[in-house]
Formats: sequence, structure tokens, C-alpha cells
Amino acid sequence: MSTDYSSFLAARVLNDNKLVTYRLLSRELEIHVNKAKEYLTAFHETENRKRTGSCHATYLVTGIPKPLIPPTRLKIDKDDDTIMESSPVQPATQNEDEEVVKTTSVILVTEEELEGVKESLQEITSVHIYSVEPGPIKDLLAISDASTELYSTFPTLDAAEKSKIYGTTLNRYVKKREGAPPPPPPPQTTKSSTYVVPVKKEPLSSSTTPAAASTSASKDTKKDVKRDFFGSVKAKDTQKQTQSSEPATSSKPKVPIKRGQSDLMSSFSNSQPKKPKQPEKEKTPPPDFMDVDDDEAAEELPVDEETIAAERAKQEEIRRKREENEEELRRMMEDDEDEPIVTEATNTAMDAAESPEDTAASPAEDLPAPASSGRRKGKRKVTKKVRTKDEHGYIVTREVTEWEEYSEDDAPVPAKPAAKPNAFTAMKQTSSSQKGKKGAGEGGPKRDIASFFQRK
Amino acid sequence: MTSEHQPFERHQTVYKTDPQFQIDNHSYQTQYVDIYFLRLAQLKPTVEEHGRERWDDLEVHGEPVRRVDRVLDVRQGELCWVAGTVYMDMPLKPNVLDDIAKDHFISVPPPRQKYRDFENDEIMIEDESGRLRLVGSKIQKEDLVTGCIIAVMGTETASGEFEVIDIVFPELPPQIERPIPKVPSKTKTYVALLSGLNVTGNIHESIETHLLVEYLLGEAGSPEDQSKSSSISRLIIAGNSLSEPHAQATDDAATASSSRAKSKKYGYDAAAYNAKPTTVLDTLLTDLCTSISVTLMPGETDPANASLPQQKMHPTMFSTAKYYTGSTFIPSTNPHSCEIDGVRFLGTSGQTIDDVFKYVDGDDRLDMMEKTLRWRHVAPTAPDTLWCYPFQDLDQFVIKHCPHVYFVGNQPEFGTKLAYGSNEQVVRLITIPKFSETGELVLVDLETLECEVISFKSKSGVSA
Repeated sequence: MSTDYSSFLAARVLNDNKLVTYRLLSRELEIHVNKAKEYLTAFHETENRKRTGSCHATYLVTGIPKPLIPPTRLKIDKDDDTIMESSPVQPATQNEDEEVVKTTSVILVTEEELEGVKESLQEITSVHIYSVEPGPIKDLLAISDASTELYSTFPTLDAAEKSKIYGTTLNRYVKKREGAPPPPPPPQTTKSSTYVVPVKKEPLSSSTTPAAASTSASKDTKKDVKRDFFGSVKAKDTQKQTQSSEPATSSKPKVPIKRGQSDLMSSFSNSQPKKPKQPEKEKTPPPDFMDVDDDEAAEELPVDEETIAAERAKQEEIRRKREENEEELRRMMEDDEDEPIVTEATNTAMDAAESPEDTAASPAEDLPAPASSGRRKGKRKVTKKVRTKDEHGYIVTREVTEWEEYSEDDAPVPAKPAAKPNAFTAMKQTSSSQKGKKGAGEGGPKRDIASFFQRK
Repeated sequence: MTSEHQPFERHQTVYKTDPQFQIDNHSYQTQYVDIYFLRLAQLKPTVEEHGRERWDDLEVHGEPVRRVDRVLDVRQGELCWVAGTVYMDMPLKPNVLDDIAKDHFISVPPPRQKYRDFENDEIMIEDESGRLRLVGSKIQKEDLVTGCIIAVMGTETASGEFEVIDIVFPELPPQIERPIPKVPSKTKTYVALLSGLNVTGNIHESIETHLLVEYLLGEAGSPEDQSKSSSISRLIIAGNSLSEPHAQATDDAATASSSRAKSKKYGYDAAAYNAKPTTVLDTLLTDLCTSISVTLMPGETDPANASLPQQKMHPTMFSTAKYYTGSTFIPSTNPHSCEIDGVRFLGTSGQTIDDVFKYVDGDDRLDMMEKTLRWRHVAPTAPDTLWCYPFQDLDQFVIKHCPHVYFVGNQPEFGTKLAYGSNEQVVRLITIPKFSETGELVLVDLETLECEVISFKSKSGVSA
């Protein structure tokens, strides 16, 4: 053991130039603190015998200070004057009814000061070495560092063990509560695990279903649209087409084309940040499900959404869609087919007014044979309300007319992407979170409702 | 290795927390006015009893002293006595209207040390009926604060003021006798009192704090010291364990905010939070809790509610020490009341006396403590100048049972004395100094109630 400690101390103090306190030594070697103190003393002696001044020590002195100079008892005078240390402190200033209190001093002192401190004490209870260090330390804060280090290096032990090894005063009644904090996973996972599967499956199935089936579904829904909102069928349908356009793109991923249309892009970037919120905002399934199935399965879905897996799947879905959308939009921008549509971006409602050419184009799509129709991309005029703070601190609302791209075409393949909103519709859909529920509740085709909200 | 050193065993004491200062429902909807009614209702019978004892059948110049029920019933020229709440009308006292005016000051005047101004202060006594101005040398000499319940005897002068001849306080409440062994036991058992650790979380935590922990754990010193340390059965930390949030954080915040000026945040910025002090305190507490029971009271600078009674600091803040809750880690309220081996302790983290200090002339904090005991109220100046909870059913600060040890933390210096009541009550009063300034730990002998001080210091060759 002796070689053990001396080699450890030599390595640490002489080679690494580190300070070693008795506590550190006891923790390092797993020995009693009092033993560690002895070792430190021995080490200090032997090293200094070999070469004077090679090793420096600090001591901890406990004792009773001389009563005449109670250094801790600087009386504050009635007039708030603190008696300076140089001025004689009269014990008489102490309150008469304040009895003399036994004071014990615990003083940490460097070896240079040791004698002085010893003299200041009336009675010395103990002097023991506190730490050894390679040279005189300027600041005892270095020791404080070592003490802090102690806590970070050595985990706190069990109370009983601690007292057995290090000699800490034993307290039999210490009970460390068991149990790390309960694991965070929410309990829903187990509950809803049954739902996870269908949720995952459905998007797959819908996407994989033959184009014919999905298109027929889309046709039906389109018909429904007509039935429900006769007034503005055309406008609606064009919108719908816009939605359904994405599927085509999704099926064949396109390389994003970078274009310097800052205005247009920025107008999209305004709306896009809202999309990621979709999963949290709507507890309803992503639009694709709703569009596909009209039956009860859709009604169950909202519950399913709570499952984490479903959530993740959905987010994945949404992210993918968003990417697709972006690509789509970029592509749209390339072929400039202008269809000015006045939109109020602030209330995310789109004016149904469309350019004549557009409406002219849409009738074809309205017909229940849209599957084969080609996709159309275009731009439209959008009136946005921009709110800014001017230099006077007033909020100024301006109406700005901007061009935005949109696409409208009929996707023949999957009905699922029909729901896929482009930048505008996505916003609309998210904002109308109750949409999904409503659709389910009415039992009617969801697409109608979705498109209803779009148009508004 | 361990066989040669038999570890010392911690002396055990029975600890009972008094839930007196716990607030169960935090409703701040109500008005503060009720507190004064409650207080008066609780203490008036006591004061009147003392008044009757003192003044019944008393005649001054052949005129009998008459008791008056309400302050407004006092008749001019009649010798009478009445009980009520003291209100100190002090121009120097902080005032809500002044606070508003402060917004227009070029530089805000520093907060006052004392509110007392003998020339301009008016001392009043009030109850639910009205107010009466008190005059006379007797009342001027007596250090009173807003909110204490007293009874005064005298006459109303021609100018409508009440000339006070004599005063009566509620005096010390009844005390439950503490168990004193017939034969003084050989082994002493102590309770350690500490306040104002002011842990900053800086890299250089004060070495004295470490010495303190080592001493309490029984690691420092000779076996003799260790044996003494093992006789300290528990530690009560009376507030201000953490120092006030430091200015250093603002620098970081400034640089950080410039870098992310775009993402402007409103309200609380979690990035500015410095967890270091709590973490350091947590490690210290965890270390202590393996060996000694620690009662942790919140103080002025601690992360607890600011208004008295401060509620327990939440154990979650102490991520490792919290595992000792239920055994050695006891977060408690401020003020805190408990019973240790039959000895009743009552203590605050210092705000109460610091506030009384502003009202009275002089610096004798022990005297102020004694006064609060005689007023039977821990925090008489609440809610006037001290923040407090708007009690609805009961003024919890009224002292119902006289403690055996009454301590106040975070005082400028250590002090102790005994206060004696008329019914053989004896109370040990202790002012606990701030550890960060003095390095002093106070030990109370549970048997004799005598105090000892252990002072932790460091002396380095260069700086000394």
C-alpha cells in the first residue's frame, strides 16, 4: 500500500504538478480519510527530505481562538462604524446579555502561515495536512477547485459504503430513494399500437392501388363536388385539379431546378413554414386518407394519429409531399401560364375569380373523365396583405399584388396525392383543422369539404 | 484498512415538521385587508387579558381606568385603554405612488436603510372602527412596527390625539415544556444552523464551503473533531443557499442575443438560465445527505416564491439530492417550525427581522427578535412592507406556541441571548450570520440550548 500511495502521489504531484487533497487521495485509493492524511504527511516529509521545497503543503488547523481577538466577532457599532482590525477591540462592546459563546475555528492554512495561526489559537485541537502540491499556492481557491473536481470524478456512494471506506460519519437512517425517474415513453403507445398498423398500411395501399380505382374515386368525389356546390363548380374543380396534380410529380421525382425568381420563391417561403405544423395542428389524418376512403376507416383515423408511429409516418409523408410540392412549383414556374387569381393571403382564403382562359380550360377537367387530362401549371395574381412596422413603430398594412405559381392538372395515378396541397391549398387545409372531422362526421365525401375550404 | 478506524456514528434525533407555514391553495385573488382583521381577532383577546390584569382596578388621580371596546369609542379627557393594531405612518416608507413617481426620476434614490423619522412619523392604533393617533414619550420610545397588536392606556387630548401612559403586548405565548434529562447526559447532541451559503456556481466555489461540508461529514480534522462532528444530528439551512442571479449572465445573453437577433423571443429566455449554482448546491447537498439530515429553507435569493411564507423549494431542482427526500433531505418552508427531540424550533431566513429593522431605531437584532416574540407574530410588518400571502382564514404568522429556539438567518453577525417570558418561558434567540461572509456555523446543544460557533477560514501565505 505504501508504495501504492507514494507512487500515486509522486505521479500526481511531482509529475503532473497537481494538487492532492486528503479527500482526493482517499477516494483515489479507497482508503480512510485519516489514513490518507497520514500518507500525505509521510509523502510530504520524504519528498522534502530528498529535496527541500519540492513539495508544499496546506494544513487544516482546528482549535479555540484566543478570546481577546475574536476575529469573527467584529462588533458593529451603533453608529454603523465597523471597528477596524487595527483598532483595539474591546470585549466590553459585547452585549452584556450576550453570553460568551464557545467558538471553534477550522482554519485552512498554508505551511508558511501555520505557525502564525497556531499562535493565534488558545487551544489547538488538531493540526493535520490538508493537501500537498508541487509549490506554494498563491490562492487557496486552487484547493477549492480540487474539491469541486472530487465531486465530478467520484460518484457519490451509498451512505453506508461511504462511511465504511472513507470514514464519513455513519448515518444509519439515510435512505436513498430507489428508482430513477420513470421512463418517459407515453402510455398511449401500447394502447394504440393496434392502430399503428392500419395507419401505416393505408397510405401504402392507397398509393399502390391501381390508378383506375383511385381515379374512379376521384371522379366520384368530383361529381359530388358538383352536386354540393353548384354555383362555383368550375372554380372548385380547378382547385381540385391543382391538388391532384402533385401525385403525378410524386410518382416521378424530379430534380429540383434552381431558379432565381426571388419574388415568387419568397412568396412561397412565406407559406411553406406553416406546413410542418400540419402534424401537430390537425389531429386528423393527412389529406390523402380522407380523400381516398369515405368509410368508417377514415373516422377511426383521427384516433390513430395519436400514436407516435403514425405521427412519424405522417410527418414523413408530409415532408415528402412538401418536397414534391416544391419541385412541382419550380416546374410550374418554368412554363409560365398565367392565371391571375386574387387571393387574400392573410385569411388564407382564395378568391374563386379565375381568368377566363383558365375556366375555359377547366371544363374539360370537370368532366368525369379527368384521369387522362394533362397537367397544367400556371401563375396567378395574388393579393396579399403585408404587415410591417414602420420607423415610427406603427403597424402598416399594405396590399401587395404578387405572382404566385400554382399548378392545376389532373393526376391520373393515385388518388392519395390528390389531397396533396400545393403551397396555397396546404395552408388552407391546415388552417381548417376541423375539416377532417367534419368530413367524417357528415359521412359525405371528404373531398368536397376539402375543396370547399379551398375555395372559400 | 478500515478496521483501524471505526467510523463515527451520527447522533440521531426525532424530527417533526410543523406544517404551520404550508399553504395548500395558492389563491392570490383576495385582498390583504383580511390579514389585519384576522390578526386582530386572533390576538385581541390575549392583549385584552393582559390589559385587564394590568389596568383593572387601577386609578389615576382618583379616576378609574375604563376599558373601551373600540378605538372610536375613546372619549376626550377620559382615562381608558383600548386594544388595536399599530399602524406606522412613515413618510419614508415605500409607497406605491412613489414607485410610480420613480419612473420619472432621473436617478432612482437608493432604498432606505431605515424608515424611522422621529419628527414626521405618526404612530396610530386602529381597529375595524377607525384610527387614533398615539402620542407621548412612552410610545415614541417604544420601538413599534406596523401590524403588531397592542393595548394602550391613556387619555385623548384636546387635539384628538391619544396620550399614551402605558402599553401592553400579547407577550410570549405559552410554551410546551421540553424534556430535560435529570442527569446531564455525557454525550452532547447538536443541531447545526447555517444560512447564506450563497453558492454562485463559479469555478472557484468558496473553500470555506468545502471545509464546512468536510467538517459536517466528519472527514476533516482529528478523530476528536470527527467525534464532535458526529454529534451534530442535523443541519438547518436558513435561506440564501444560492446567491442572487449574477450579472455575468447578462454578458452571455448580450452576445447570444446579437447572434440570433432574428429569432426574437418574448418572455422568458431559457438560454439565459444558468443551472450551475443549483447543480453545485445539489452536489454539496447530496454529499451532506449521505451522512447528515439537512433541512433546506428558502430565502430571499433562493428560487422560491418571494412572498412569505415561502414554500418549499421543489426537490426537482436538486436532481441528485432529491433521492434523499423522505429521509435526510428535508425541503421546508420559510418561516419554518419544527420539533427536534422535543425542542421546538422556529426560524426564518431573515426577511422578517430585516424588515422590522427598518422600522426601529438601533441595530440590536436580538432585541427585535424578542419583540416579535412578545408581539406573538413572526412577520408583523407583512403585508405592509413585507411581501406575504393574502391569508383568508388564519394569520399563519401568529405564534401560538412559544418555541424553545428561535433563529433568524442571514443576519450581519452571530448573536444569541435568552428571552424570558412571564410564565417561565425561556427562548434561545439566535441570529445566524451569512456563511459566505463570516464562515460561521452555529451549533445548538439540544440539552442546554447553549450555542457554539464553528468558524471556517482559510489563510494563505500570499494573501494574508
